[in-house]
Amino acid sequence: MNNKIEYLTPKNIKILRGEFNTINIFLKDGRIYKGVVAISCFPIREPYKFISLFYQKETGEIEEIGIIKDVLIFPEEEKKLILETLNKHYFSFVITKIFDIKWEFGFLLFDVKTDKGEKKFYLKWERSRAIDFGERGKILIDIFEDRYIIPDVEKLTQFEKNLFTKFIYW
Amino acid sequence: MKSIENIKLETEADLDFFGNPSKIKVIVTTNKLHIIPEKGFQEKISFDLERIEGFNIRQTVGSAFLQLKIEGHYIDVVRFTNSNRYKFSRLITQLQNLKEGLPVSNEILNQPHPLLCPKCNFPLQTEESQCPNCLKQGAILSRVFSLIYEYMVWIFIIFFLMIIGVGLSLVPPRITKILVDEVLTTKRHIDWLPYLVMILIGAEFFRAQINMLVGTISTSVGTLITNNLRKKLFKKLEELSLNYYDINSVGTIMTRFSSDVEAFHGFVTQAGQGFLLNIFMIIGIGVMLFSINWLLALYVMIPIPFVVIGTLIFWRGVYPKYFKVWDSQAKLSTFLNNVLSGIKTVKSFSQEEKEYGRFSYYADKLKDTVRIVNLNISIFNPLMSFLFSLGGLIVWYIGGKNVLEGKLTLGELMAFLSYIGMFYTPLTNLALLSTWFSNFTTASHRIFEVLDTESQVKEPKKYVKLFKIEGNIEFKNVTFGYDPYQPVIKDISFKIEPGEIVGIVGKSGSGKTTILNLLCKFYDVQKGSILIDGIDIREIPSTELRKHIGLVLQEPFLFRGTIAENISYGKSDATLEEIINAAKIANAHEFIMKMPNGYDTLLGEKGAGLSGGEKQRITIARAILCNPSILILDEATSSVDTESEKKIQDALSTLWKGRTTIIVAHRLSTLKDADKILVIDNGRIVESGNHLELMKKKGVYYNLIVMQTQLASIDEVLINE
Repeated sequence: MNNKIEYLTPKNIKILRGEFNTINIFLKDGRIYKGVVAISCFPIREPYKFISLFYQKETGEIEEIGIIKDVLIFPEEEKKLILETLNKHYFSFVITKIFDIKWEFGFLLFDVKTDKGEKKFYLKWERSRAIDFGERGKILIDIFEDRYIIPDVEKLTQFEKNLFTKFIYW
Repeated sequence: MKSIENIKLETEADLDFFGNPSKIKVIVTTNKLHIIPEKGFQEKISFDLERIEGFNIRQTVGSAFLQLKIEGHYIDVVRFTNSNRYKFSRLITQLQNLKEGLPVSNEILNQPHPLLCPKCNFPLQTEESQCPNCLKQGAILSRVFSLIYEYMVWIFIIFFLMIIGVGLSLVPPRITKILVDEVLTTKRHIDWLPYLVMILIGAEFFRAQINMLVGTISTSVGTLITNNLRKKLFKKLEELSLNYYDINSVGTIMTRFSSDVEAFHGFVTQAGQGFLLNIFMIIGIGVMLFSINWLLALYVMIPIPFVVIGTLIFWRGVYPKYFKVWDSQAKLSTFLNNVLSGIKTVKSFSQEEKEYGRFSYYADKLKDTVRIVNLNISIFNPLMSFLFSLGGLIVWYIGGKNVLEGKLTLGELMAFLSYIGMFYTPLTNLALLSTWFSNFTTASHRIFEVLDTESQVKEPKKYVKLFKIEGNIEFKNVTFGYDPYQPVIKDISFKIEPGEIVGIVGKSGSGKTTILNLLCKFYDVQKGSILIDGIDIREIPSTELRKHIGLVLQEPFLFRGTIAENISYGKSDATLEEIINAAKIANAHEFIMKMPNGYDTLLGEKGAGLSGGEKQRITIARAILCNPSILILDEATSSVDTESEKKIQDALSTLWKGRTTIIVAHRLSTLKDADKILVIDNGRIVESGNHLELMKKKGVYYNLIVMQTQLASIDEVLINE
């Protein structure tokens, strides 16, 4: 990997949809990369700025092609492809309502409503399983490593906040 | 849909490509792999198995993709949440078997997740843990009981003495009644006065004696229990694998030893001297009150429901706030530990103001949480006292009326009021039970959390003693990741013969140190096995294994103690001669003897007072003294100056003679004489051979050597200029 940032802009790359929902990148210097992966450098602070594009080598390992400083400067179609690829790299359930939290033998059983429907999940009652998300949010990582995000704890209702901070007090 | 025949494997994913919940069927027949979405935006697609060159799982953040390698490229075909990861890992194994013509099993895909109890589906701490739900364990008080079980004899003695003490404290008001009714008001038995006073003195004297005895025994038992608990905690912390320390900060663990164990101590002592005594008092006094006048006694009970309900409400509200106090304390001590141990860096970057700001933030947080808890308590306690005083006023009014009407004697009223004075004091104390109890349960939760944590490194059920090992090491298809879904070591295999010197080189983060961590069994491999002299190290107890391994780390760690104690750390029965001998071999003797107290020189925290090279030579002496069959040097010379490096190199070359030695080195010149060099890149061995062989190959190792030579030439030019 080069130790100098290689910025990717609409001037030096062309982004096209490839086979099987992949994206292909064509660089001005003639390089072509297929099946490109997008990863955000600051997924919490600035998820859509400083997006690093990688390609997967034959061995399965990934190598960086360059960094897109700001996705907004790309034409609409290319922007859509970048964001689509970026969103494929991140998956979480966003908690919109907490119905109940129960302590059971060192685990917390969450009964919640998420952006993808109602869910019940077990969280190990450990500090490392509920980590900060930005200034006021929390990411909960359940026993299977699935991620549940509370974007802003302060925006929960008083009942939900009391229930949540009773257990996740850190 | 046309039915699919000859189905060999069938499973289901739970997400479509765009992360929407969906049902995507994956069906594998003898020659095809079909992806069939039930709903969602994904399209149905089929692949000829012949066309697929490989399978892979691409882990992303929060989900993963099943990938197929087609025409040299990996393509994502199915997306699923991490809860399905196990199922798809198994699918890949089955797909590979199918490609190779081996038998496949569809049942294996539908087996329950190894992290769930097969009986009740309750989550398990680790794959091999017992299900807490099936065992019905966990109730805090029963756990506490198990801790105090061995002191039951003493606890019964305390109970017995307390009952006598309570009996004795009930005597004075009874005597007061007789004194008032028989001696002072009616003057029927004036001659009883001295005897009654003597009985009062006797009751008070014996009560004081018993209280002293109860206090002494319960304090001793409390101290014993907490001492035992501290030792259990420390033992557990020593047993836990390094994963635990990767996750939990030292500050948090320290708080468990200090304030949590102290809260436990406080509760045990209070239980003996405080609330148990108060409960006995309340029962005894209650019996007395009802025996004097049952109707008046009922009036006294009026405030009790309010007290109970108030206490319950208070407890529920204040309980979570105690968590926050503890958390703020832990964060503050973690911060202090961090900043004070790195004070040199803080000063060198002139960050004092910034750190002061951060300290103020944590200190203010602690202040706020403590203030809120104390505020709650300071409102609650006076409220309770007021409720109790209402009961006293009722007795004065109704009891007074009864005396005036001749339904109650003055002596009985006096006794009643004395008993009420004694009744309300223990009740007020019992109101504080919630404070002690919440403190105690919070602390117990955290203590049991540590005691219940299972080490990620599993110890064998049978203890195997290793008397001698030859030093034959074999890594067989080892895969490991600190996050199990992101392997750092990928399918590594290599062999080291006894007495061989093997170098491991590679870029930072390539997985060199992880290989050493696995060999020392600081972590367990996730796939494959590591054999020493043909025995899988999972069958060897960690302590037994590490007796035969000498480890010299990049950052030498010395304990507070003398130089001699530090050298003999791994062999406490070493003779003075052995200590000097080890120091001589490690080239440490010379500088040790320059110190006024020689080997008895007391070292400060982390070996303060010694240079990096000196500290490293002491740790080498420490390794020499243990006479290990396997020696591991992890960047042992990278943090010292060239002169020290030369001395350390001389020491090491003596040390590794006749031992299997593994050297992770940044400076590749160190490895010129190694029998074998393994070049690691991205968790895999990309090259192996001796120095000359690898130089001839002109591959990764050659490039690294060229790069270092160029840097050295630049240094030389700079020196010459």
